[in-house]
Amino acid sequence: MADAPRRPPELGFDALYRRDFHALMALAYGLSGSRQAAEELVQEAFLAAYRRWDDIRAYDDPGAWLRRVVVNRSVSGIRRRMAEGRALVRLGHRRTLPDVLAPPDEELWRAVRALPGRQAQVVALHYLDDRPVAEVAAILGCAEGTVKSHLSRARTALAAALATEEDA
Amino acid sequence: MTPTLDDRLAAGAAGLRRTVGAVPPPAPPRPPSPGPRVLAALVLVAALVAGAAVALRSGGDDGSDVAMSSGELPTLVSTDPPAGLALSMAYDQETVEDADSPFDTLAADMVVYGDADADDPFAERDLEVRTRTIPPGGEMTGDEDGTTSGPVTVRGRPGLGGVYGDASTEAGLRFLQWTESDTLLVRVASYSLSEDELAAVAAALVVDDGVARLAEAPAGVAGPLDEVGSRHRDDYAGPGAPREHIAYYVPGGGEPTGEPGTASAMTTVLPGGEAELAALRWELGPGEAVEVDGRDGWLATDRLAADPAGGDDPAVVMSLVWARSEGVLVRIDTAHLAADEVLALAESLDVVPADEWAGLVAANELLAVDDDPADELTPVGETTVDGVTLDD
Repeated sequence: MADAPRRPPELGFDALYRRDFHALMALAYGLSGSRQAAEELVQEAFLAAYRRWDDIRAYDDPGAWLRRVVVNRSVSGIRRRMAEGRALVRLGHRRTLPDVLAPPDEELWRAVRALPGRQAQVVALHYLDDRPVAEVAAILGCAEGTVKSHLSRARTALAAALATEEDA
Repeated sequence: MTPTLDDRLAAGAAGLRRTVGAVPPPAPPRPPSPGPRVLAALVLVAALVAGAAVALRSGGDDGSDVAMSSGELPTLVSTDPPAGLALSMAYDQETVEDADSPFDTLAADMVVYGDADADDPFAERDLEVRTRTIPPGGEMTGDEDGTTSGPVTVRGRPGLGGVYGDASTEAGLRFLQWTESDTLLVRVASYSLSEDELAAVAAALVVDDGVARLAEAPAGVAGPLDEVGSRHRDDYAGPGAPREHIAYYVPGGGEPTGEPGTASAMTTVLPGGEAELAALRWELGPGEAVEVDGRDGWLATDRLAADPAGGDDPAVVMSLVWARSEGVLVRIDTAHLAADEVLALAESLDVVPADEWAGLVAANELLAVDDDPADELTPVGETTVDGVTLDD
């Protein structure tokens, strides 16, 4: 008799944090365009997960829940400003050295951020987080067809904005 | 050949992943257990602030740090904040949350030079030499709020040079920065030295035990450049480093909105003596000497082209620092406040007994836990760029 599908071993909160921190930072940075806001947004998402850990840990993929929170907050102008404000408080206006961590190809990410929110989220999850369409749909809570439509429109808009060729 | 969109997306994604991969994760968040709703927390904050004010009024006002115990810094709260401000939150924070943080200047070693015999040591000549560790392979680019003149070679290593633009909090500061090794970044910076003088300083530096220093002013650089201040990361990071006490004020109190254009003030109590005060004073940049409760202070004004909280409107950011008592520095950072309001806030600070402070911090944590993540799960909308709503 074939074994029933097994759930992957449950990750503890700290292990989940270590595993997903950088992936979530990349999503938040790409979508918000602010390093400080990205740090704050990721911390907020993990804090939210920690508060509800008894529920979140029971999900098949707690990381998907975190991604949903991060991408939603990252494209929200108000959320982003609040995160930046809190980051400013936290840093106390401390001056930073010239940035050694600015992302390459800022033009590309600026164009992604100029997309409608849902399209930007789909692009970030698909290309940056390397998620197939089905997983993007699951994270965002929509149908795969919707994701494909957003992806198609996003690619057309990006190709025009970047004056590059859209692949097949 | 023009790269295709897929090439560009793949390279851009890889570059961004590589960039954030170099960011050391801070410690995982650890909130207190879930508490009551915001209203209850605000009532509690108000009650605690009122209680603290009563306690302060019943005590002396001689600047003695009565709440300070061995190894701890005093906890300060304003009893009468200016400009309609009220306490929003209070919290304690490691002076450096992560010793390897690339974002925190306290995680760097810093030495400042000027005229040791002058009342204002940085009035004629000034120099900062800052050293910090960086993640291996960190990519050096320009400051996102500043202006750089482009790549340069310093001491045979790749670097950047230029002058910060007026969008930066360091507007007008000329700098040279380079990677002394794969994990060591050095910056020399000055408001008064020329590009050639900075290059001569960089060439003359001695890097010893991970810290760059200038032994004497090199030929061709007019002095004096005496060492007048310094700050060392080991005093702020790692075991035994004290925790800063921070209080944040916004109009009317309550939770900060982060909205651009809103007045705000933050008081920070941090450790330090004369050397650290001089370093901080240089760091604040050009300003004016002031007096706070009979002690010498420095008030610096940054006129930013854009509000640090967001938006495109200009903003005035002021910072005040003074030594409140031996080993205790106080710093106030404000946005959208006038100089007399900043000074009024400084003079209204007094020590809160430790248990009162603990109550304020606890109330702040109650505010923080009210954030309901379920609120954030609402889709952001389905409208596309051409206004069409897509169906599944």
